[in-house]
Amino acid sequence: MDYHKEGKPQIPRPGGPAIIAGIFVSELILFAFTGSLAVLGIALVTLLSGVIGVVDDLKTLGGIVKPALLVLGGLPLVALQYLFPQSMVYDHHLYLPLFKTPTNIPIIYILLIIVAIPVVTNTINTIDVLNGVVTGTILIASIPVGFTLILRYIVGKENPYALAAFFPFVGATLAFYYFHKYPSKIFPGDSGAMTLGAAYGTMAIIGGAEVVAVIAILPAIMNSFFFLSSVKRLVEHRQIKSQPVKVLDDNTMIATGDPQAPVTLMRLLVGVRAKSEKEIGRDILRLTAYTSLLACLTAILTWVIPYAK
Amino acid sequence: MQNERESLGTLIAIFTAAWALVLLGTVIIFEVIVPLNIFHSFLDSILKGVLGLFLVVAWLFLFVEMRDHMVKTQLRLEKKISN
Repeated sequence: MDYHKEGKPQIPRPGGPAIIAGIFVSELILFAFTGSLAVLGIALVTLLSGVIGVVDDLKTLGGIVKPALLVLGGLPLVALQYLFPQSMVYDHHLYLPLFKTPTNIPIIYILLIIVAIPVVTNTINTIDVLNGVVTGTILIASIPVGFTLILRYIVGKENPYALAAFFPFVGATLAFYYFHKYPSKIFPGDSGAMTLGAAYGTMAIIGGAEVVAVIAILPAIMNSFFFLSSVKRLVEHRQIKSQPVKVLDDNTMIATGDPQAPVTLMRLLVGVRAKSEKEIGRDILRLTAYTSLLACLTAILTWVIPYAK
Repeated sequence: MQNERESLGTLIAIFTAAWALVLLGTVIIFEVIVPLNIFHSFLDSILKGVLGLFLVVAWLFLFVEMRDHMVKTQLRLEKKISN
């Protein structure tokens, strides 16, 4: 049900299985042609995280069980790299802005993958609050990631198959966005949002765009951080009793002013004036566009400036 | 409208500050901490680890302070409006 529309129309959900199929099948076809294990890694992480999302859609998982299960999401990447060390599924050198010499962190990088996939997956899931926001966020945040892949390819650091793997991911997201944008004809559900988060995180890891990807999704990270630090525990949003935002009779939304309610990005955006769903969604996407611009600058500082010296 | 602009503007300021702190932290780590060689022994590694950790904690502290400032301001505004 779409609670923010007049008459609260019924909207089909979850569209997650369509997103899972779109990304998984296209990446699998790419793997068949290229034999790149990095591409297979994206397909497997997407499938695993997506299946956990489908389970969450069917039977709501708890605030602790869900992230615990999502830890499994990153394991295919670690396993593929361990079984085929020459295949370069990912690069355990971390490239930081302004410095040409990377930091070699082979052990820490494994921990980073195991933690990063569930964190990014959950973070993207928490931004799925309004029509078109999660798909729009992923599409906008993918621009600096794609830009980084191209820059890395130019300086000879990129696996060309990782660059090729970027396009099926963006294509599937774009196709779903067409139906998810305001007013939504379908909702992605937890399975869709989690699949997009997992695929985005994996793309950043195999593409060596970790720092850039994190900066691009800062609004989603901040939303998750605000929520967790105000609730002070891992909890499923459906279990929250004090709502941060209420829907008015004209279907606009405004903050409830309840000090017990969790702090969210949406609450901060409607704290002083009621806004329509379309306006709030547009504000969140504007913020993502701004952080994506910062992420593009970071990519230039990492892959252009040090190599121009 | 003015408050609405402030709300979006403050969020943009927080994102910019968080981004600048990441860049600043990278420069401090690579230009100041990594080349440190005071004791010419393993104590240097320990010192580098402690300084690196301190930097991460300081970054988190600043970030949380910015967040708290924004949330407090927002709650004050919400209370004023509901009254």
